[in-house]
Amino acid sequence: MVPRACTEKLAAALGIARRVEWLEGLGHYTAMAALPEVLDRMVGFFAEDLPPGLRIQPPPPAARTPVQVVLSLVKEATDLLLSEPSPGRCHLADVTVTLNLDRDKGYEGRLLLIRGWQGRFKLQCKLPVVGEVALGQGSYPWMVSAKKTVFKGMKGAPPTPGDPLAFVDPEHLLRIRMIAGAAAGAALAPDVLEPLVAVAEEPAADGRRTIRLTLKGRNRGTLTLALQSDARTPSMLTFEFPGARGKIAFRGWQRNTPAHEAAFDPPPGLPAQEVEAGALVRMFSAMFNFAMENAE
Amino acid sequence: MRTLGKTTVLLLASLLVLTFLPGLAAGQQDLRIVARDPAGHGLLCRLGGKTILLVAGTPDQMGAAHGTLLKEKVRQLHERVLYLVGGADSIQSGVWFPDRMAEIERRTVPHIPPRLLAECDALSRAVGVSPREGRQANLFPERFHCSGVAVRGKATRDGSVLHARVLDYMRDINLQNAAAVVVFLPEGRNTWMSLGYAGFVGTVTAMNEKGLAIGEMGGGGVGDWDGMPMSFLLRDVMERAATVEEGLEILRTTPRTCEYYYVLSDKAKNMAGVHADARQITILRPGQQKPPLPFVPEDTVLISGPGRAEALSQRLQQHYGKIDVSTMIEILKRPVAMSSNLHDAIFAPETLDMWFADAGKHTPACDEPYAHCNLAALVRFYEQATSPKTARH
Repeated sequence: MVPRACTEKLAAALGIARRVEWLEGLGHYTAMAALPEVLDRMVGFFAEDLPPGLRIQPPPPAARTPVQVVLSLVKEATDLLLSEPSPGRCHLADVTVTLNLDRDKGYEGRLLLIRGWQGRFKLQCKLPVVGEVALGQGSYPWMVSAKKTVFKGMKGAPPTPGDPLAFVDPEHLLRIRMIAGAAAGAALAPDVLEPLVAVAEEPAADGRRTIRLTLKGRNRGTLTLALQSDARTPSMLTFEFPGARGKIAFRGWQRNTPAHEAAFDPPPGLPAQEVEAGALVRMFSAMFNFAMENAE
Repeated sequence: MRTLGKTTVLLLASLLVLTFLPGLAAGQQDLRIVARDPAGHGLLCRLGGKTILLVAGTPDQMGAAHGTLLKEKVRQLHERVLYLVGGADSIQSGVWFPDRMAEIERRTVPHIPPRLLAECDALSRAVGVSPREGRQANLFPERFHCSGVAVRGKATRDGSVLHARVLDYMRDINLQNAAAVVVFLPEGRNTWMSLGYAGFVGTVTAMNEKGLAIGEMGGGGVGDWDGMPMSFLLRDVMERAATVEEGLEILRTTPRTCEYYYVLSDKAKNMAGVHADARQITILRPGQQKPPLPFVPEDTVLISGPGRAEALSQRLQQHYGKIDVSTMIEILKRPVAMSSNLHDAIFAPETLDMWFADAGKHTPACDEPYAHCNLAALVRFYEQATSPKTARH
């Protein structure tokens, strides 16, 4: 490793001090989180010198390799949390989950996540014990109780929606960025996945492209991904690990699709109580931190 | 020679016992200072994998030291109890949790000794949160489902008192990440230690320098908040009482809140079980039968919930007359402890020893290794470490 001070001294001696870009807050390993951005910049740099006729268009979805398809979906999943869509647009994931654990009773749930612009979002899910949960942020943060009362965070709310994850542990977001970075890196060099997972095309079921992932090493298990007819949108993911098996059915999966402001509002017609916006945002962050802690 | 021989045998026996007791490999000698309160009123230490905090002085000084030395842990704990549990509670109940906490604060504050509020507020200032947040995190309504047991005389291997408490409460939200043994050395009051959590100035599991131990179990009665909050009430017992009878007197005469059960024991081998709510208090003496509790053997006091109480009673009878710390650790295992088991403690009030275990990330406390500390040794350590003549850095 080259200490920063040495790099700066060398850059100054070469006369390129202003052109050195630092990945602030990242380290030797966590720099992976910035990989997508770094790759984009590097590709853009070299592409500047190419004549227009030589520029390579991305392959059509059906022509992409199984690894490319899988990594692209990993990137899209991380984008739900990391990348903000353009104004008036949203990322959307609507899934039903069925999970069967060997030593526990089965679990079925549904999750709808709409990620909008400037902090707008809506999350609806059905969880064991708690039941139906709905929360979000349009022009203000809100949360719906199981008794169908809407807590509207209108007290002390800023004029424009703030960051709903303002109190999230930055380490958690960094981890998600690292996954996105690793997926981007692996897309360029799929061989790095070889020791970890075998990715293979399966015979198409119902005309849908199907990809099978077999994990190697300590965490053995299989995942089977069925795509929709466009060969890029997920349709169903079934998985089987020691002690657990289940499936995720994708009811909706869209990126940067048009969205109306009302998509981020609480359900209409329910009794409402105005509460402190700050307390709601702290609750959102606490829930996110807890979910990430348990996902580790 | 005869005395020397006896001492030698005792020492050897003690060494043997210490060698085979779980968790005792991490003994007092492993206690190391991690940080010092810049104002000179606290030490943050590690004992094996455990956090030990020692604070001394006035309420302001102790609160500030606590907040300064455990700032991040306190913030994490506030997030968990006020915002994660608060959010889930709001969703489930339809009642806005901060409103509920504000009501509890309004109704309990007139009954809380000013010294405890001062300590709580000083802690909040040091952490950088509002006094309201600090107080409400301490008034967090406990709905514990726990077990407590004390044994002595015929029940134990050597006749000494052993007092165990099982705290079954929300292991799933990782409160164990903020676990700490906190030793309080308040000016003019009893020194005591709490098996507690960063930011909590009250207690649910504690023993004081006089050899009085107490553990709490939750009941019902939510809404009876015109009294001293349970965790502060137990602190008051620790700081003012020296015996079970003095502790019972404080419990009797203080305005109480919701329904709780307690087990108390002291170094004079007195023990009691208590069922108390805002309106009444019932004392159970050793061996006293009280339906719906199952059979309570002579020289024991036990309190637990349906199913678990029966298992506890059976195990006590099975090991009757042979109970020591190792046996008690086995007695507390599931199904006496629940899957939510957050911490367990076994007190020896006569020697001021405490064996304790906190939940792991995926395991109840009863399945985790126990650590050991001794209140008198911790106090000596603090005094030596903070004395200008002997301070170690």
